[in-house]
Amino acid sequence: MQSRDRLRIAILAAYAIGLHGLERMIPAPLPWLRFGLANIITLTALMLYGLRVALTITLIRVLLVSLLTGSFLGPGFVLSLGGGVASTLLMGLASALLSSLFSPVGISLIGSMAHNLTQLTLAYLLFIRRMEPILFVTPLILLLGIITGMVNGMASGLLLKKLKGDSPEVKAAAGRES
Amino acid sequence: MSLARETFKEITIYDWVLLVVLVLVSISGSFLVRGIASTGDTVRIEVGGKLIYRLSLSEERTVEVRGPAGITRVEVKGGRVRVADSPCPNKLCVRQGWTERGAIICLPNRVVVTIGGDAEGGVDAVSG
Repeated sequence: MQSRDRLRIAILAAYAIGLHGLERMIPAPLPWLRFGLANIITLTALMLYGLRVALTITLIRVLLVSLLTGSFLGPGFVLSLGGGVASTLLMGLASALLSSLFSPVGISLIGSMAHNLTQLTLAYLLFIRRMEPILFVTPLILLLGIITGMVNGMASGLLLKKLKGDSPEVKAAAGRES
Repeated sequence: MSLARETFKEITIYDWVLLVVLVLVSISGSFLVRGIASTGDTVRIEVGGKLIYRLSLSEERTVEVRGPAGITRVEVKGGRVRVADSPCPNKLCVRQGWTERGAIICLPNRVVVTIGGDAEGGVDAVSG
């Protein structure tokens, strides 16, 4: 891994953790609603620097946040890890195969679905073991995920535009990727 | 501002199609689960998949169960059930409030409260 990559990963992971921390301070108006602001960084990193960088950032974020909040290896950590990795992988796949069809908003929606469905599946397999209560909360969680996925996708799109406009280096990186 | 407008314009027709499909699926899904959401007069309280209490929904009662995170207090009153107190950090289960159908889940403490009939498992009834 080049040292430039390492620097990018460190900075972007710091942003992701910062956004995650910010999100925890905002009281959610509805139970089950998580904004997933860190996904803005994951998606932006994916679009600019590819899957490997985005995945590394996700792993660093999940690990550090769990250590900072004391939830390492707890149920919340397992769900964060599963959801984060699944959504990053699926967004990577989607942006590699379907980037001509979808803008960052579509990729973000795909990531949000992957995140929530993986978490629900993990919660069922590891913790709940009863189908009915899981099914009962699934539609609400998916619906909230669509809204946050849409908003995060647009934020990421905006950020990508701003970065490409401001920095010739980012412009070059984006051009190389596409 | 023009950047925001450009970003919005960049949203493709496939993005919109995906959005509409997902919204339709989850909204129809919510009606579907409302249909199958269990109603009944029995409250099952499970911890880590093990049945601890089976209570009647019509009988006023407060019970405490011990999970990995501590003690969860479940209250049954007036045909409804709620988690009155829980040791979990985010208190989703407490904030769900009084419930008369479906279920309350507290993931950190592995507590699942389900409202249902007396029938054990399987399909209670199928209507065409």
